[in-house]
Amino acid sequence: MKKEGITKTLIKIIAVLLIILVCLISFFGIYKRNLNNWKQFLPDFNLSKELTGSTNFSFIVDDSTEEKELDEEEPAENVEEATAEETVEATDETSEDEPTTTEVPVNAPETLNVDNYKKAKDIIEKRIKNFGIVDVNVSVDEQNGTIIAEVPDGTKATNVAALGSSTGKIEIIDTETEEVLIDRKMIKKISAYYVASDTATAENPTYDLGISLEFTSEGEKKLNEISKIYIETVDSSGDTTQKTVTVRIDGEDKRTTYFSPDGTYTTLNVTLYQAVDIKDEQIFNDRYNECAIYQAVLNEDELPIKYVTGTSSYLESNLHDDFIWYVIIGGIVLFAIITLIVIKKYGKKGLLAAIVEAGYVAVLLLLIRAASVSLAISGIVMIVLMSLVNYLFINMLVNGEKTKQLKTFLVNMIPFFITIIVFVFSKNINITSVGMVGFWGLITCIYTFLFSLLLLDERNDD
Amino acid sequence: MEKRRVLYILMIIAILVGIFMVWKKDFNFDTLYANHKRVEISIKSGYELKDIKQFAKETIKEKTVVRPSTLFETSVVVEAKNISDDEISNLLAKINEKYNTDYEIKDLKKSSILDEMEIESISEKSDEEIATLISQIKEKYGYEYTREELEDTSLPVKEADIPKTNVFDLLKGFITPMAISGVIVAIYFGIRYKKLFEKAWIIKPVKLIFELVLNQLFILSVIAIARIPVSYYIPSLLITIWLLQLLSETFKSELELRKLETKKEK
Repeated sequence: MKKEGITKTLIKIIAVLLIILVCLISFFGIYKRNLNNWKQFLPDFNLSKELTGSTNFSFIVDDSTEEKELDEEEPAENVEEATAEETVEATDETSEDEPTTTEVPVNAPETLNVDNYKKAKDIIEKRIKNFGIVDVNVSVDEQNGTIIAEVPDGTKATNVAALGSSTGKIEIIDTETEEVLIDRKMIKKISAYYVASDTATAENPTYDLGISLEFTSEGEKKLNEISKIYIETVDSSGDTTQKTVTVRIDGEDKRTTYFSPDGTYTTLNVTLYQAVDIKDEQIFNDRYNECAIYQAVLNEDELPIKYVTGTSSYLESNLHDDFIWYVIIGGIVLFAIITLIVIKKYGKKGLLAAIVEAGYVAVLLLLIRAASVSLAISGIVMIVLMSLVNYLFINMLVNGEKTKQLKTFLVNMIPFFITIIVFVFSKNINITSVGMVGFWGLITCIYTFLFSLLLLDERNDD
Repeated sequence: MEKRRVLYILMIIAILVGIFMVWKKDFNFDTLYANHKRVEISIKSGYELKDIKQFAKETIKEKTVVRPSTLFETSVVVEAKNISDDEISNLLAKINEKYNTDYEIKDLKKSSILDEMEIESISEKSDEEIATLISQIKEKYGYEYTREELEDTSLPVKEADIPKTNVFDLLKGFITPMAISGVIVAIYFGIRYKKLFEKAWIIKPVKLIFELVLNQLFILSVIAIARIPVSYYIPSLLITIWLLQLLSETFKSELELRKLETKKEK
């Protein structure tokens, strides 16, 4: 009986020491020597842009002009009228001194209005989010249409300029006549892809990179229709000729191809880069990244206005240092209050409960680091909230039969858990942060239950 | 029940007042969330942020936000809802004195003046054209530039107008996840607490959704009425209230259910 008591005390001491060790690791980190300084061994917290800093990109309404050929039926005066005060300048003259081209603004004056500015802002925001940057703020100056996109600094941030300045126009045209055969409306979805290229070997693994176009039912019908026309033909003398289509993105011809007349098409792969060697990882990633940008841009509507990239600058957070210190001090004060309350209420058991609670915060912080949870301010608030929920759980465990109390706790947490799971899949950084912290917080409650069995069990309390 | 009804009415009145306030005066946005001016100053020799904060406080009337810009902290950004040219001049004078720079307000204005005058390239202009341009600028804007200054394309001091953040933009990402989770939780409440009373399956979910939404709108209304600056804390505040309310409703309903079951057992 005495031996059993000693074993239980020993288990308790080991459990407490283990918790203290985890707390030390989590709160102070593990450092290893790196040349002349010490390097943190644990992964860093993945803080949101509000807490670290952000790169601000500005997109300005393009006020340049482009050369446009005059229609034969359309007299030059009409174009002049349409372009209002813009310069109409003859760049080429026919024998009758009639201009054949004219300078027109890339953005027609009638398109420059608040509705289009707001629409452009929404499209750019969606593109950035589609590209995987969830923590983004986009605002628009309704007077001049200037759009400011604020994203966290990082490797993905460098692509924001391309995401905002591409018009996002895609069309499949007749290569010869430039007649539009399929436009954006007939395309349902665009995905970046990579497949082993025809020339790939085991020694030389190369890949074709591009975008795959998935069509609407109308688009699919049209694609199969044109696949019977745009084919390779052989004439009586044995010469082959190809009638081809061109995939044009933002006015740039990306791929010219023809079809096999026997095939039935549901998708169309547009290869943008052929036989990219995977051994050169940097080039491969850059090329694939370009395809991913096309995917993010082309899956959203076309911009109603053409934008150009303005300035970009990195801005450090105005909260960072002060805010983190306030949170740490606030956390310590809160923990001290909880500890005093539980010690007053439960005595020795209260002290052990406080140790379990400290361990909970430590384990949760380690999981947040390991899982690379994006910590926004809402996520930090959620850590506090989860600590309080855990305290409630400990309180329940101290006050009754543990398995029964666990069941009661779980039932009480069902609506909370449903909400957390929905939040995890959100595309809003504040919501996702809360969802992820809540999810790992609830998982960490397993630790609380197990260590409560060891430290707060009535039978062990000798 | 009566007290609760009175509370609902008071909250709804507050929400209506809040809507009116937003319609008439909009929210009171904090500096970085409002339409504001950003002045970026490049101090390549390095600087002490607290010095710049102090200079900004001394020279700019509005509340300022001062933070480092660029990863190597060779530039600093000063932001405020409104910064006049005189205030910028005074700020630059203090920076010049401390860091031996020679920035003037005209460095800041050069770019916008040339844009306004639709001048794309100075280097392509003849001496005569540049002389005319210098005199035109002096006459129209009151700033005197040298040829070298106009040709210099570096911008050691920049200013930009930053548009305000739309509150709807700040909150629109909340609507879908909150609505989806709210509906699922409401269905769960309807099923779980149907034993509580006859029409609990419909009353419980409706009451839950109503109270969750009411509280969120009430908080926003208080922020609008009390002119509390809208800032980074808003999302966290709303989500925390939502989750706390959800937890409290669940614990309360579970307790009621347990009481009822105990009563039935007896």
